[in-house]
Amino acid sequence: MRSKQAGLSAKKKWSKSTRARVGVFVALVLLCAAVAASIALPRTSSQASPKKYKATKEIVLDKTTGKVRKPTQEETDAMVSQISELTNRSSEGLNVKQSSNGMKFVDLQGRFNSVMLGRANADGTTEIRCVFSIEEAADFLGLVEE
Amino acid sequence: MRKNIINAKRSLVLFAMMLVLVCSSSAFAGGAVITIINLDGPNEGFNDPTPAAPVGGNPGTTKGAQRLFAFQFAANVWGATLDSPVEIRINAAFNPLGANVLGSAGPTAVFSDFPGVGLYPGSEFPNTWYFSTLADKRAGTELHPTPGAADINAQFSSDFNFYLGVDNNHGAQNDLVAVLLHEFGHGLNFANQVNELNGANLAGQTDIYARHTLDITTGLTWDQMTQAERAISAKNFGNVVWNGSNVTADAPQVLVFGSPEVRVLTPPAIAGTKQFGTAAFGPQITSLASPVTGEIVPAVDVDEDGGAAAFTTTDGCSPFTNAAAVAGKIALVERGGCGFAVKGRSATAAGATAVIIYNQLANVNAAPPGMAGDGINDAFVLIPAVSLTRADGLAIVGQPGATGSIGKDPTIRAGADTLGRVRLYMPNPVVSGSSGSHYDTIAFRNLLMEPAINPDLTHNLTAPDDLTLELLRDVGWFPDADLDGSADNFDCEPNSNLAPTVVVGGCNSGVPNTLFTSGCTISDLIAHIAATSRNHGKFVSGVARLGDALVAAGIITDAQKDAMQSCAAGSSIP
Repeated sequence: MRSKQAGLSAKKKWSKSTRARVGVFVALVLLCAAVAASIALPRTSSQASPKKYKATKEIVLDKTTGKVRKPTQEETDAMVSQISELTNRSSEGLNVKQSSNGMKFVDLQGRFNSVMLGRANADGTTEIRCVFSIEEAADFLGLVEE
Repeated sequence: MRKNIINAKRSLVLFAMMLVLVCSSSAFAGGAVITIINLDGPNEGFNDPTPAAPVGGNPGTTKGAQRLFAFQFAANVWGATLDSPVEIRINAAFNPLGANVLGSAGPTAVFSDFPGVGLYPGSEFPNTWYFSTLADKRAGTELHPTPGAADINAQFSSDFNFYLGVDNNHGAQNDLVAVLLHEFGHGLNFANQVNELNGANLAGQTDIYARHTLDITTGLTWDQMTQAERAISAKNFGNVVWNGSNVTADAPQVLVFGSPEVRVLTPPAIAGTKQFGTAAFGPQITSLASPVTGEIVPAVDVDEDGGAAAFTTTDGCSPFTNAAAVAGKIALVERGGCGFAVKGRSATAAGATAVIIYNQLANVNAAPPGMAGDGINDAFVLIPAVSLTRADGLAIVGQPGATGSIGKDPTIRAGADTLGRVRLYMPNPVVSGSSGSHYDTIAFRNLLMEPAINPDLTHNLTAPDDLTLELLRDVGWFPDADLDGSADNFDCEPNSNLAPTVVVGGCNSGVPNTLFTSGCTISDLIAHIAATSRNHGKFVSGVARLGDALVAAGIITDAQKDAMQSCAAGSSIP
């Protein structure tokens, strides 16, 4: 917490205070509107190419048979793609925008998510787990790299 | 914290140094407004018209309505727990997601080096990322340059059959509210911004969560480390803790003594707590009355395939040929060749007191596995069984006479270190949920922000049931009941009267109700005078002295003082 006794000057009247409030508001609007600088982040190689996985465990509850089965390769590819995109922690392509007051801002563009996964058991229950990367997801779901 | 009029007068000089703020138009009730923004189209997701019977306190009569009610319920739980003057907006949808993907959530933006408006403190540290929800709260204003921008994105599977009641009576189903509380928790900054596979920070600067992530091996927090050091720390199982004071202070209310541990005791070269996996068969490590201790002896059995790759003399798939040496001691066998329960059965038959199964070459870099039973041999395993990494297993093999311990350490709380700091989940190698943005899975009682959503969770977010709120306090979600920007524990009046003008006993003086940097308004000071005045005369004179002090400080005019005084005199206070 910043000190409250910051030595800032007092205002005498409501009208002056109102002007001060308006001033703060205008400053913030200007600050937000006039984002001064935008810095593109350098490319990183951490998540450059998606890995290819195959399923090894029966974790999908088949709606037709009511039994658990392995995900098909198509299902596996789709889920790997989706999880990889949501949990992407690469800075590649993100921009750091800096305001004139020094504030920095990054629109994460749908990255840096956590993903809740489910793993169906034969008894009809589902274990669920929160992960932040495709590697974690692969471990939980029994996916192995091809 | 309360001030009387004498103190107020003595504080004349202080008043002159105070920041004066214009107050908002009405008193605040604290909390935070969290709005669920329904992004679903007609007849899908939140708008799914499929009829549904009300369930567990959820009055919705369609599947869509029940989903929305559960979402808003979880949002309201958080809204009643945290304080923020800025609306938190969650873009939400139910969609058909990939197989096994039940949902996702995350922050839309991060901010650093932002100032605060009025009494709001702004960012606590320079060059440190905050999620937009927390940044807005600490700034006291919306920071996102796009009006109406969401703070959190959340989508969940329309294919999965969540329990949609809000009473936590979910039975064997998965409780959507608990899942949402967890995911919203991440969106409120219960997460770092580090790529833990390579240790890279977002845009080269640290984040507020990483600043509290302490590696007790190096004594460094993650913001103090190089990228390479962070990558190593992210796999330093059992040795990375949360160093925030709120979590540590409340942990004893939540975590029980008896941390499940597998330790090598001697020789010193390999001694220490080891990362381990548990078995679905045999006595559970958490249920042992006392730890199993003793010498660890590598088991020897016949090589069933005569040198072919499938079996070895160390896999424990056949009766031990060195049973006499193993009896009364902890058996050590290698993974592979047969099921885990077969090895456990062999060790039991040899008279071992426990069995450790370490990874074989095919799993050289794998984490200690959770060991499933086979339904056949399980019943014959009468001793505790745990798994270790290959590196740890081979280290024991290389030290004949090594001793170990398997069981609960009664001096350590489950999920904390020896100093009572709560552990973060950092297994080696990476396994599900090993993000560092979760509490360790050995925590007990179970915590909302473990990787798994355990069925015994409540919907409470703080001690004695949980430690989620405590962590959010540590990253900067300070309590602020009156939303004046001054943290309650420093606030002259945590429940300030923030009316625009000073009203005394129902008489509106018309005097602007100035808020001072102490967190008190003029109305608060008058209320404090009333609370400490023995009679009406004392009260009136107290208000008079306050008025004099405010005039002298240039905060109000003589006429305003007179108006205030007139109201006080005409009141029946106390």
